[in-house]
Amino acid sequence: MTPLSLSTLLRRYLALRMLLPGVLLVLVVAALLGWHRWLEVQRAQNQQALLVSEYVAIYLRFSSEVVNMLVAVDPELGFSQVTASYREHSQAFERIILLSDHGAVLQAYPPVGTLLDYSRLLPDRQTESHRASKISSPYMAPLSNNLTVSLFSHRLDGRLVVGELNLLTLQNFIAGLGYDTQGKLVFITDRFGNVLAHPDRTVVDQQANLGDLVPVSRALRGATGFLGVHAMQDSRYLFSASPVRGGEWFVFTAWNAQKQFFGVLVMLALFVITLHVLLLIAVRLLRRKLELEVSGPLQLFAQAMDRLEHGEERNGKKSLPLSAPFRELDLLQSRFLDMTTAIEQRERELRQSEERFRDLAGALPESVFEMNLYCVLTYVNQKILSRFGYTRKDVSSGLNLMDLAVVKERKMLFKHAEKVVRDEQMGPLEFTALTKDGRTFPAQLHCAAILVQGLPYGVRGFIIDMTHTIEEQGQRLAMERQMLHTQKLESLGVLAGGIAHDFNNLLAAIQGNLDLALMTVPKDSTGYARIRQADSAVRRASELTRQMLAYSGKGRLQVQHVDLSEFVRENLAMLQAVISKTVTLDLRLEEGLPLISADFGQLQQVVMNLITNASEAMNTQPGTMTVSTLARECDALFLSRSRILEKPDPGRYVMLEVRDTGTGIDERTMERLFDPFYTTKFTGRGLGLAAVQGIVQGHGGAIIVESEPGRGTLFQVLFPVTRDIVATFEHSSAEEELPEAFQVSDQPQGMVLVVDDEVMVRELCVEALEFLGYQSMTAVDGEDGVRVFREYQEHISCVILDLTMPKMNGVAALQAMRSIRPDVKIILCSGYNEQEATRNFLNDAPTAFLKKPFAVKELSTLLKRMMGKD
Amino acid sequence: MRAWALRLFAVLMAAFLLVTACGQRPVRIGFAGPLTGPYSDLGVHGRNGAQLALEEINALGGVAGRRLELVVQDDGGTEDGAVEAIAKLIQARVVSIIGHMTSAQSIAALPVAQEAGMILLSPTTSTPELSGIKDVFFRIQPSTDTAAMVLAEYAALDMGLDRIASVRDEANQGYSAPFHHAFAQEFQVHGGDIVLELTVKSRDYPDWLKVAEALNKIDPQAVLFILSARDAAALAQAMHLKGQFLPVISSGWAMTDELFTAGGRTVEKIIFAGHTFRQKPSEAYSRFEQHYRERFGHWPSFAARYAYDALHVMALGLERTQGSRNGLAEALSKIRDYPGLDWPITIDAYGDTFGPIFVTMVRDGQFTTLKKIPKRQGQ
Repeated sequence: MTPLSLSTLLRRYLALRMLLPGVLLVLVVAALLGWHRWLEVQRAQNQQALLVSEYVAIYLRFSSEVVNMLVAVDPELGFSQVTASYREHSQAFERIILLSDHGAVLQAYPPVGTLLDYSRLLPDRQTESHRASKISSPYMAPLSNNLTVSLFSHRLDGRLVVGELNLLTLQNFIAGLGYDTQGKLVFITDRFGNVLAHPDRTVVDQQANLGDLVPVSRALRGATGFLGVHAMQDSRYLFSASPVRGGEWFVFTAWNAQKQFFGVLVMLALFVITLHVLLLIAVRLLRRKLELEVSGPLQLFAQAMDRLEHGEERNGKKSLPLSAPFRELDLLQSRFLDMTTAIEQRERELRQSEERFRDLAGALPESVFEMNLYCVLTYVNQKILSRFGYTRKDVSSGLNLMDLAVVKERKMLFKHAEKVVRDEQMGPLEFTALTKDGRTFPAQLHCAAILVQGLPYGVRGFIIDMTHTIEEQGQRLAMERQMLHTQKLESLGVLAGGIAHDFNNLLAAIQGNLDLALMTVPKDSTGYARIRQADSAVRRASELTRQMLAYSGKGRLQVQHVDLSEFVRENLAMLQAVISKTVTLDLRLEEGLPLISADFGQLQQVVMNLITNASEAMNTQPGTMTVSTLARECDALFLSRSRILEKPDPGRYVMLEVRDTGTGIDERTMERLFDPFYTTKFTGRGLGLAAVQGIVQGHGGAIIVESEPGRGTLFQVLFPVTRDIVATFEHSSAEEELPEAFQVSDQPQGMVLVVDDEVMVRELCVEALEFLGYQSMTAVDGEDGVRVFREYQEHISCVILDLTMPKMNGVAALQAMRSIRPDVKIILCSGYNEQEATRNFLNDAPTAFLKKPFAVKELSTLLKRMMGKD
Repeated sequence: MRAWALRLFAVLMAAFLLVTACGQRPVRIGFAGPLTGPYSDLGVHGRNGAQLALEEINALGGVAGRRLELVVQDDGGTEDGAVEAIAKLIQARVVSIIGHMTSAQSIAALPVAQEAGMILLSPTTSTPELSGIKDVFFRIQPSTDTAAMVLAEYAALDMGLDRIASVRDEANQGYSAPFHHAFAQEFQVHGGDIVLELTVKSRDYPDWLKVAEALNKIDPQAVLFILSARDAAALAQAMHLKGQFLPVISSGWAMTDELFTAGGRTVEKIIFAGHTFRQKPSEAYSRFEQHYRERFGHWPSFAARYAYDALHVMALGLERTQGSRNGLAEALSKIRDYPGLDWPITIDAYGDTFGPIFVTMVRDGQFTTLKKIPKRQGQ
């Protein structure tokens, strides 16, 4: 309930305060007036009763005197005349009778007719009286229906003169003065209360007795004067009584109480009305005044406060009047103005702070939010809207934090927020964010409680989109894995290379010796055949080591310029031997392909491996193998798909494609496809594709694999097109040529220095050289070699230098030797392939290269060339 | 706080009014009788007698704790007046009515009262026409024909009369006719005969001298008056004037003081047969007479006595009904041997009563009992 206005309260207060005294005043006045009137009425009424009774007494006395006078008249002589004459002039008596002492009627005026005996009338009706005339109690006059009273007097002769009073005169008198508009009446009774005269004629006619009325009975018992207020005829009357002297009658005056006091009541009513009107006027005037001086200014003040509430500080201040009508309001207003100023200041500071925050929050690349304790978002920056796909309208309609997460995680989010609010130190929370259109992304929630005066008010925080981070993480992990993998392979490669190299050296020794032996042993001897077998075996062994070296990328290369299409065609028979009967071979070989630089054997390996794999992939059901060759431009993007770690430069390439329609390769296998010793074949060693990879890598190419389980596989091997054409050599056949017995010159051919840390190789070389007619010197390592060279450089025609040596390797030794004699002919001798071996020689390259194991013939040829260059 | 006080005040006021209203509301009893006119003596006395009884009862606490109030209506001694009076009393919401004082008025008023279910208890109506009917009419005056029969018997047997004249007031036909009829029948039984029947109308101021002359012509042994006291007195006076001094036998109707006041000595030796008075009045009777005289200044007549008894009987009935009209008839019918001033009053289921009959004579201005005939069964 709204409280009442001050003005109303004051008015009510005033009204009440004025009303109560007013009521009291009215009551007092009423009492006074009433009392005054009461006394007045009593006095007046009593007066009236006295006057009337006086009159009645006079009337009676007069009537008695008449009777007495008649008594004196001689009945025989003048009674009748006198009486008749009297009756002509006066109606005071109804009848005048002369009775005998027995009560017999002697004379009667007017005559009584047959009524002769009045004897019973008078004795019964006699009342005590000390006067000469007596008065009877009322009775119905015979022959009339009038009430009458007899006055009678005894004559000296015993006769009675009876005068029956005409009470009508009294009646008329009473009626005349008694009953007026003021409700006053006068009546007369005898001492028994029988009514003798009454304004209402019927009361008299009915011979009413009013002795039952309290005032009448009191008067009959002797009370006179004012007799109080009593009920009569359903009204209340004021009564006064006065006895009639000489008659034992009583005169009563009865005044209607209501009518007597009516005037007083009217006056009171007028007074009350006037008072009320004055009160109303006063209150009305007060209302005006209060409105002007109190309510009005207070309302203005309230308006000013309202404006302040709505942020219109200046307007609030302006709307106040200059001066207040009362002190308290003045004080309020001045304080209000102070308060307004302070608020203005604070608002300003607050706005600035707010702006700073907004700017910051808007600039942040992450989703910033603020929410209340019900988790309803009260502020969001633009990032949240754009990331989650909501509009400002969504936010203002009550979006809450939980809406930003998937349903399963909402409770977790809520609990986190709860803990934050409870001031528990919480780290970031990983959760799955949910956008408006139902997409999810990984997110991280950072939040803290907003405190106002130490109490939690809400939560402020930001949500980081973890999608990229995770992707990056994933990528990094993948890369790490890849790197580890590659490193593993490399180390394996290195291992394999190392073993193969050492093994190769041994094989070189074996092969060299066998070569020599074959040269010295007669052909038809049994030993010769056995040596030849051994030689074949050694060649096969060295082939194996070459594969291993090839895998490790360090195999010996017999680099030749190859037309890939021709190559495939020439090796077709061999290839078809490998392909299963159920496979259909589809050849698409492009003509006029640019040449590539490749090692035949290794190329064979590559092709064989690919075709074998393809064939075996289709061993369950018939399929088609498509082998294609083509030349194409490859860009970085295309080459980036190569399974070899080192991607070759973009350029022109020749591509060999082997496609099968077999089982395809699943993802897991794809990953490990080129791993050494990984195989899906029962009888496989797992070196095939590893070797392919190594070979291709050694040729500076690329391998791309595409496969889909159930659909088939496509291998694409790319070889870079050769830039400079070197004189082509005739390629050698698969079968090794036997070392010819060739002519050995007798002339000393020259001095050759052999530098190799392997004693067997050294001895072999010396023997070979000797056989060929050269003189030789040896050194055990690079250092030794340089020392010997320095010492005997004039004599040394050529140096055979091993690459891998302790103390000083081939590279350093070569450099040292070249610095001693720049034109010295040095043949680099190594188990590694030429490319690998010569890679390390930057400025000074060896004059030639000899791969271990080598045939003596090879050595011979090379030396002749070397020497021939002189 | 203020509201609470106001409510309390209102409740108290209401309670007060309720209490006072319930307690103070008087029981209004009506009185209908001839207060003016030729029979006014009956009415005035009757009213006064009832008033005295009422004042006595109120002095003792009233009926069922409530005051009694007498509402008086003048019926003027006429039938029309009777009807009007009853109507006015019914309008004034009285619980019951004492009235009327004469048979004619009672008969006229009864239909009105019957329709309104208003009990009429008549002190003095004695017409046999209203006997034996279950209605609202009750009386404590026995039916007059028994008195007529007793009078006739007395006249024939005790007085040895066999040739009489009769004068009766036609204005009160309900009373005079049955009385005359009953008398004549009984008289005939005993060998008597009414040789002359004269009728007068009281209101018309009959010429009593002419009546007396008419009587002279026949020369009966006695005259039977069935007249009011005033008329009886007037006729008696007239007869004396004419020098006729015949014995007069009269109905009880004329047995009021009015007879004496109007007749004086001329009414000496008139013989009445009525249900009135014993020679030696009882204490209650004396007390009543004394009170009446002190109260009203004159001696009571039978009308006063009967009305006094009637009001007491009515009060008794109302006491039983707690001042209510409902069940008043039953209550009155159960009145058994109520000690009336003259004799014990018993009212039967028809509202009629029975009592002894007295043969009285005026002697020295007093009614003296000559003979008492106790109440007969089946009267």
